[in-house]
Amino acid sequence: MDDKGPAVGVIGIGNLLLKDEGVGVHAVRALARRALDDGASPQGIRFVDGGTDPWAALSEVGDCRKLLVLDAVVGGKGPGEFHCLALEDVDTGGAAMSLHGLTLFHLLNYERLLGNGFDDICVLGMEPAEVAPGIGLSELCQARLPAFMDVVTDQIHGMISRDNKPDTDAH
Amino acid sequence: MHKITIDPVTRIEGHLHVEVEHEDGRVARARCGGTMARGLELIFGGRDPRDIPILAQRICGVCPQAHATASALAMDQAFGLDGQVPLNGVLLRDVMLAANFLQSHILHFYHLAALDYVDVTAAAGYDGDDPDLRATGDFIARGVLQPFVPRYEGDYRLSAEQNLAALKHYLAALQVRKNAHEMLALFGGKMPHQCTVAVGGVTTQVTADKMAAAVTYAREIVEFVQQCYVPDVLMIASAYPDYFEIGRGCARFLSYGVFSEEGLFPGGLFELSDDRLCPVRPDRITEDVRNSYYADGADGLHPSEGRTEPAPGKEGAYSWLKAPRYDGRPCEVGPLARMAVAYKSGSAAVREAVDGLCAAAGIGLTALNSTLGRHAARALETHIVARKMQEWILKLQPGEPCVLKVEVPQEGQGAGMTGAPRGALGHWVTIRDHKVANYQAVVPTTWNGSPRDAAGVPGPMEQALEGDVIRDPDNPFEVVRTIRSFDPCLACSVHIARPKGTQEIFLPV
Repeated sequence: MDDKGPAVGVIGIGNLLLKDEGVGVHAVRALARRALDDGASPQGIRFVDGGTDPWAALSEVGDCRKLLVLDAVVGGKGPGEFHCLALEDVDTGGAAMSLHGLTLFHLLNYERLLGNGFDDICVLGMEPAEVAPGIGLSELCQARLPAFMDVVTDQIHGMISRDNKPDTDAH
Repeated sequence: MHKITIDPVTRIEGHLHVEVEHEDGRVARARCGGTMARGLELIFGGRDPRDIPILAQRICGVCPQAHATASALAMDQAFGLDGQVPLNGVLLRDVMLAANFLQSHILHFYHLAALDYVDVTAAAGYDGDDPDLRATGDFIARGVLQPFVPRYEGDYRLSAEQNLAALKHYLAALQVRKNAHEMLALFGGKMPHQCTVAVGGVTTQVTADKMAAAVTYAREIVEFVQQCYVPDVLMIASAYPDYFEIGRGCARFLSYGVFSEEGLFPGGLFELSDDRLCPVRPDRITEDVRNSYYADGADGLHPSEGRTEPAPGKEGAYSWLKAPRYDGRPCEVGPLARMAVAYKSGSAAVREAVDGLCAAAGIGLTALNSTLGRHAARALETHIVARKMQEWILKLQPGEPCVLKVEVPQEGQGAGMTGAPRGALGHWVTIRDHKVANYQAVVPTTWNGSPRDAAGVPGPMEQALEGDVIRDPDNPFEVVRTIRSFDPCLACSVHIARPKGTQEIFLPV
């Protein structure tokens, strides 16, 4: 597509009602807020709270060149630790039996089928400490959130600078 | 390659697993187990009741709109606003819920269910002129088989041309789903997770521009459903007529009613065996825990009085779902149940659609109580809802109010009983001291995927599976087809236990 939008779309996904499972959403909201507080609209970046509806979230960043997904990741590193993954490192969860079984990674393939590919896809995650009914992060993950946001910010800048084309996005 | 799981478990309400014992090539016993959305009272308790319709949609990523609607209806009642919500507010809630129904049904059919009957690998050798099919063929040729595989290898019976036509619609459906999503966003303020459905109505404004845009989206969806979805179900029916015999459920259909248009999808309980239709009395809903992992002695209680004392490892138990019953008996919910109840109630739109389909497929009404019948009912419901949605949009009044000013009552109680795409959905709230004191939700798959009750009677999905043929235990595609026909609301896995139960084969799904 010629008429691409922002360089990087950042989606936070997760369930806000299950504490640390929603860490991706908490992070993307905090990043969007910080960008606003800094007084400038984030050039070339679009933040989307994807919640429990990753597909709808993908529709919101369909015009972005690159995709960064923030999520809770369970990978045996210990609570509060970070993961940085390429798409092919992520278990897609196999075939779906119900619509709930359709993961973001099935959805990304649907988008590819429609010709809506991204130049670059990266997943940044934090290991949850507590996944249980409740709103808000555990103390541990809350304390790790600022550091996580810094990692995300670095990643965004890295993705933008890896962009071969100069960023001419008029956002 | 080292794989890491981004745990999908908690993004959803829980996992449903189905265990099937087979004997002489048939399902002897089916057991559905799963977890359920309990604990909402923990999350919502003590909060401002006005926040709940926004929070409730976060329960689930597939039917967020249905949870928002049920929650708003429960709150309307608890706030004493029944019958006072402005017409625009009522219509907008219907339009937004309709958009959710359309995208959910279309997605379910094309991207999950149809692949049980349509052989997508037909595109692999495609050398025709259609650019979409060429792209898909290339896609498969590059070895990018997801989302198409892994799959259960079925007895694919369609011709090469039929497979390609269906695949073409599969791709078109992705775009249609997007239209439904964008339509919802017109009135929802933002997507995903709209932010306008509220206690007392919808916090947006109706303009002629938005109405025009919504009608355009709706028209495209109606066209797709008319020209692709319904004909594709009929095409599958003509090749797989035996699936009008397979997967017979419990033949008791429950609907709370959905959408506000009088007489379109009314509530009711319809019993096929004696052709009887009764109004729904919520006090007749009870839950059993005999085969569930909860402490005994809590059978036959209303959900609002139910006790939920976890008893992991309880002997004989096999599910974290309780077994909801109406008048002590299991009920199927979902599009088939809604269509059956509406047909019996005399809903004109439903009668016309169902009679037309039965004539086209050459079947009698009772054949719809089947695996294929559930798909047919879902397709017809999609068609009716899409057409009605256009009418509802045109009834909106630009400039008129959409929401009431509300004040949180000191005390109140409310029930929001409506429909999610996959069946009857109920939310119950109690307000004390201006805060949420208790909150319960009973979701559709609790009905369909319920385990045996205290009397040992299997749940609807279990009944639909028992007696069905399994030709190859290593590839139980028949079982998968029937499970999918219910559009279960939980991620699902199938286990096949050998007769003696010594060797269990786990099948990734």
